[in-house]
Amino acid sequence: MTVRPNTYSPMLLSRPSRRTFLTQSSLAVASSVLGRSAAGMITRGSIIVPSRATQPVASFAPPLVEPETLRTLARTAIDAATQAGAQYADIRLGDQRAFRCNSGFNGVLTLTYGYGLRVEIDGTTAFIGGTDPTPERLIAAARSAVVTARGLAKTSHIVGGAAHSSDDSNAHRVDRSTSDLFAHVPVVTGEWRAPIAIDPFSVSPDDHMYALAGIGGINDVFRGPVEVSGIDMTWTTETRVFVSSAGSMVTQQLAMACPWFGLMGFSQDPSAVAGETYMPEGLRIFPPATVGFEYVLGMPLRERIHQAMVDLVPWTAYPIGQAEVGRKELVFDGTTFGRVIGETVFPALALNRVLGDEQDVSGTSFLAPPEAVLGQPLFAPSLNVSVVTGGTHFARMQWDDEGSTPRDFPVIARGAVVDYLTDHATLPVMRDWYTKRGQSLQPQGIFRANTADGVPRAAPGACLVESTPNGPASLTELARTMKDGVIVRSGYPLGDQQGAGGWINSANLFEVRKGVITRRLVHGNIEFSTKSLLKGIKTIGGPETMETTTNALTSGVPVTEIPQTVTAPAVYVPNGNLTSTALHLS
Amino acid sequence: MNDLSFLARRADPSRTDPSQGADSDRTRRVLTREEAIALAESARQMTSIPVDWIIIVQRAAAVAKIVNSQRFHCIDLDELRLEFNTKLGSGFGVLVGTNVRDAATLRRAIHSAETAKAPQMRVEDQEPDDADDPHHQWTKPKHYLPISLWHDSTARAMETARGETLAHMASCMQTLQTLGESNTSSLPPLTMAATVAVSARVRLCHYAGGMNAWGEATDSEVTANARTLDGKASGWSGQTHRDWGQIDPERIVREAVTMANRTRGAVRLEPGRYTAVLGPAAVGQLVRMMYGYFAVFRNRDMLGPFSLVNAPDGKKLRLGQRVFDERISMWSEPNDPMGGYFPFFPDGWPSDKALWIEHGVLRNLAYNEEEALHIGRPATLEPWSMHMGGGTTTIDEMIRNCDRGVYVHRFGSVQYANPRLCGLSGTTRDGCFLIKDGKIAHPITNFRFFESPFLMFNRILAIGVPERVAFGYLRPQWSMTLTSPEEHQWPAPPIIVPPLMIRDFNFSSLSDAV
Repeated sequence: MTVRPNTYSPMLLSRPSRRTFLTQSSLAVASSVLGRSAAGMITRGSIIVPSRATQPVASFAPPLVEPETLRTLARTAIDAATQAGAQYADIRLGDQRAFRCNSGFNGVLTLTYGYGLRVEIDGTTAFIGGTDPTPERLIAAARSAVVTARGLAKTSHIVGGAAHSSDDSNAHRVDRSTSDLFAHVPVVTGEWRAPIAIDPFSVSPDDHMYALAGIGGINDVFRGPVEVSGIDMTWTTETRVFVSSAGSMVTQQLAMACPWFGLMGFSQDPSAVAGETYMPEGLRIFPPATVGFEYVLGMPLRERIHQAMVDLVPWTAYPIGQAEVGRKELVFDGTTFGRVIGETVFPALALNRVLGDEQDVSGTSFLAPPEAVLGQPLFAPSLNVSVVTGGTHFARMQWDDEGSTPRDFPVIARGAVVDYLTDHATLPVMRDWYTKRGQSLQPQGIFRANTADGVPRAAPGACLVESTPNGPASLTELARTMKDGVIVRSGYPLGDQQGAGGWINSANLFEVRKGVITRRLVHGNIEFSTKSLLKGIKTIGGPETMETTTNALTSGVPVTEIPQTVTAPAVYVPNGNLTSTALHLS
Repeated sequence: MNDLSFLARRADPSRTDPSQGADSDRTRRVLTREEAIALAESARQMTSIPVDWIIIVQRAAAVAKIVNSQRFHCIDLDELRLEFNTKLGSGFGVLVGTNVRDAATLRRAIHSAETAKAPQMRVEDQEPDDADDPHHQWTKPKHYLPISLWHDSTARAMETARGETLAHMASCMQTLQTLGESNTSSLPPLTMAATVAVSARVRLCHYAGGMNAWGEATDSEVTANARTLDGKASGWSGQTHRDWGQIDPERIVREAVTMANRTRGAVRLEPGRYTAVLGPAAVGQLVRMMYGYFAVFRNRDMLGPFSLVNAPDGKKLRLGQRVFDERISMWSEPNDPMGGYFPFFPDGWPSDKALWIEHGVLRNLAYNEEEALHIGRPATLEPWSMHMGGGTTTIDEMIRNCDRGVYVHRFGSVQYANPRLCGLSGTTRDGCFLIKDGKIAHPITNFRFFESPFLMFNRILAIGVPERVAFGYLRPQWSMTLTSPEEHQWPAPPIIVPPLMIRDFNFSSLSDAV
């Protein structure tokens, strides 16, 4: 196998020549010069890439649009918006390639070339996104956005706006009809490239499959009722430009790696019937320290997967039994607990959701209103949750989609909510709280969209739940004091419309009686209230129990999904609710 | 080479301004049938490799969202995609979305896409043409059910509806509050969020053998949610119709506000099994989760709800047996006047009306083209649009005939809890009430439920008149169907269902969510 060093192979075809554009904002010049080179682009597409192809993945699609072209298009849009009357405008333009490959199948190369434009007039914002960033369409989009925002600004006195009864003690309407919605958007300029050693797009599909086959080859040497059931890698590269009317202009060459390795255990109980045999563990991921192709090379990844398989083997030996409903003590593995946090707490912490932006779509938040929640000991004092910027593979960027630099910050400290997920439009809401804590009103840098044409959201790329130093080092150790409980491995929680509760489905529930695992349970479900669950945490596991999983923050119409990772320890909760999902059709 | 000047005409943003004239051609953002065929023929001539079929899909949509008149999001979609397929090797397999506006740029886009495949597709690798190959018969012209899914009113609305309608809805909200039309003037005010979504879509499957499947459709959906400032009461309403002229934004706002006000002061009710009166929106959210179970392959291995276990005669499917209440019939009909969809598979093979359940009896399951040819049954799309009928009882009549039960306006966060048998879990939301002695007694807090439609539809007490339901937000889920993923994109294909009165509906626990 040959792997080239960090190169990005040029497209085999000749491309139209491009001029070097001056930094001027003449719309007429932009239209005449760019019309030829911006049109005829593949704006969204999928290309099947043969798994045996030996040319680089990059050669299967046109090369990324040059950054200067994107910058000039962006300036065109901003100029149009400000000339039409926008008090503030910003735009994201991005040309993205995503290559998804899994063992045994051809790869898929997805192309997305789009824009997302935002304008603000008198406290009203309008966003328009699309996948046809020609000068004409961008100018039309900018003017349309301004017209719409201006029209709506005139109706801002309507119910729900600034004016409401001041003597209504239950009113939690937050006034956002100020003119400084975007006052805290920094002015930044610069360029950044994601640091990778080997560009995945300079590697051939054949080499990609070879690397994945090397991981899947673990099955050939592993002896035991566990196998690698699936391998899926998605590599992403993108040129993304952010330009604002305040003077920001940043260009980033982004890279992302999304690995998924599914493990499947097979119950050794000879009485297992169809559907009960399989013990999937597909939610746990092994986050890369780097997003370059070097991640799938070498032994460390294989060793981690192999160890996970070894750890799963003993769990396949338990006999199978039907879940009995009732109150149970619970132990969640790190994967399950991480997803509980990801499915409930993090959507609920999105401040725009707290303020009602999603009330007619994905929902609202149980962590509302902010003034009643911030600083209150809602959860167990041992619970500490933070947004982190390092060590994971999502949202590695120098600036977010508002030009802010991502930073680490706590959201839950000693069981109390201490921050929400904000963007510049919602950040002013936190002013009093930040002042009270001696913090500056600093952006979090988590405002992002998967592709430039998507509506950006305050969505952290990575979250961390702290473990207990010297805490219990395993699930069995956590379960040692359980009289009648259940261990939940690789559970799949789903939250309700407020994150106030949910249920956890898992094929890997294990009954514990007097500290001893007795059976694997089928047709069981855990229902929970988020506040009760998190308040009732008695023990948080040690660093050895930490696992990383992934979930997606979903919102909007059409629905957008923004992935994130959550790294969390195992936890013990004395009071849980086991229900049955058994059905009998006559 | 065909004249492709229509591409530029369709793509010009300035030409879609309805104020320039009511000419439907001026307001149309997607290709006509003739234009799509011309584009396909031009694309075929531009390729250097024999192309078996070309699929052209164009989707234009405008989705606008307003929150308390302060925040406005608008997403404009305008995607033109060409998919090329050939018999050579593993196939061309390229989908290209492009802002192509003329023949030269189309040629460039096609060339850049096919060049990458060149090492795989040499003309000399092509198998000799065989006139007896069934594939040739397969690509001959076919007959398709006539459909009428396009409305010029909706196409025009794509440019004007968003701003006007949302502002109008916000104004309605103010009127209701200040004039007390819903007796709200003495109550704490409400917040409102609303979404207006309008779309137009075309699809052409163009075969070298002459088969041409064509479909064009418009669709629109308006939803609104009103909520008390303390977050303890919430109401929702929505309407969806292919004809924008049938949408009534004022009624939607009025219903959302009314429901929000009626859910103030909700109290808890002990979870358990109750007679449930489910509104059409609630029923629709359950029925859409059933689609994949009508696929024959899901039932073959005795794992699906329509399979027989240990059948002595070796037959494993319950075709011809009564599986639901005899009042229930379920069908999918491309030219359904209440919804409809394209009368062909994603690859162009015709798909006629499918009668799934007739008076409770399972009549058909979905077989794909190859299976259907093999066993001599008609090929049918897995349902991704469903019409359920069978009754005339109104919701008021259901309530009057209920001594003690629960009225559910809609559900939220519905997901599979028992995927094998379509066991569903989720929560009630935006309107849940106790029914007592034939009347709505008071609002109650939300429940979590666990039910399977395959069980529920055997506990029917009453069935109402079906209507097409709106969904608004639909959380992505593991899809049980294998039809084209674009068919599951927003807007949701039509679901036409009645309100239902169900015995012993399982409200499994209380939910804290509002």
